[in-house]
Amino acid sequence: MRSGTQPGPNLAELDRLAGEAAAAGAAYALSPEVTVVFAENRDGLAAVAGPW
Amino acid sequence: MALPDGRFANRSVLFQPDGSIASSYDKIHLFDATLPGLRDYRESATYAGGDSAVVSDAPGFRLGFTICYDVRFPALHRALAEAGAEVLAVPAAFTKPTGEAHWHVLLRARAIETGCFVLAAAQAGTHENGRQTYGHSMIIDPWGRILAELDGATPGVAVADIDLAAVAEARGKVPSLANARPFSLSVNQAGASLLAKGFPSP
Repeated sequence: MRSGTQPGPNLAELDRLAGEAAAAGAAYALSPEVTVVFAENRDGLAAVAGPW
Repeated sequence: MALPDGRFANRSVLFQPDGSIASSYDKIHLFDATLPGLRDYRESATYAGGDSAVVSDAPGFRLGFTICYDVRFPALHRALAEAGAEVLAVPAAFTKPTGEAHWHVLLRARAIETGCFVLAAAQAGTHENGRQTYGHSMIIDPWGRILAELDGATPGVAVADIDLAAVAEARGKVPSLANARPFSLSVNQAGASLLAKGFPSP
């Protein structure tokens, strides 16, 4: 993944890649650190932090 | 995940196929460093470190949780293996310089010394804020062989078959987990005093 600062596009990309892994037969999939948001700073993180 | 003290938890979550949460882990080791010529980096100013290692049942295996910088702390991985982990998860966002220098050797070492599969998923490429991450997501077997690896720029999926017999096989060939022994430690300063006296000569 190459996560950005907004959760929406990141989660959509995660969904696409997880589907690709499942289609390849994966029973378990692992995504990178900061998959949901690659924040630039604390304020950026605070703006989107939630129960993702 | 926001915490009451204003900081955040760097949390890895294991989801079941139905979307429910099976287990979670908060990153224990935080990167606090003064980098020569660069700004101070204080991960602990933003995140609160976790204080509990986690092993959880996953589909067909027992999973040990780690996150990124944790990979530099072998004792955590050993504890996970001793607690029954057969597969270690390493979600990461290594920078390009540290990744080029250390990523492969750290991951392979953790696999070899624990006799575990290591699954390492990494952020890759140049992000919208200009920061560069190393990528090279990979799957490593308990003998240290790389079964699958992505490149450093293109997001994608690495897939491999996990045969858990390889765990017992590797631990049987090199039983370093079973052979570990407690030891005491002595620090002998006699050598330092010899050096202070100029002996042996350079």
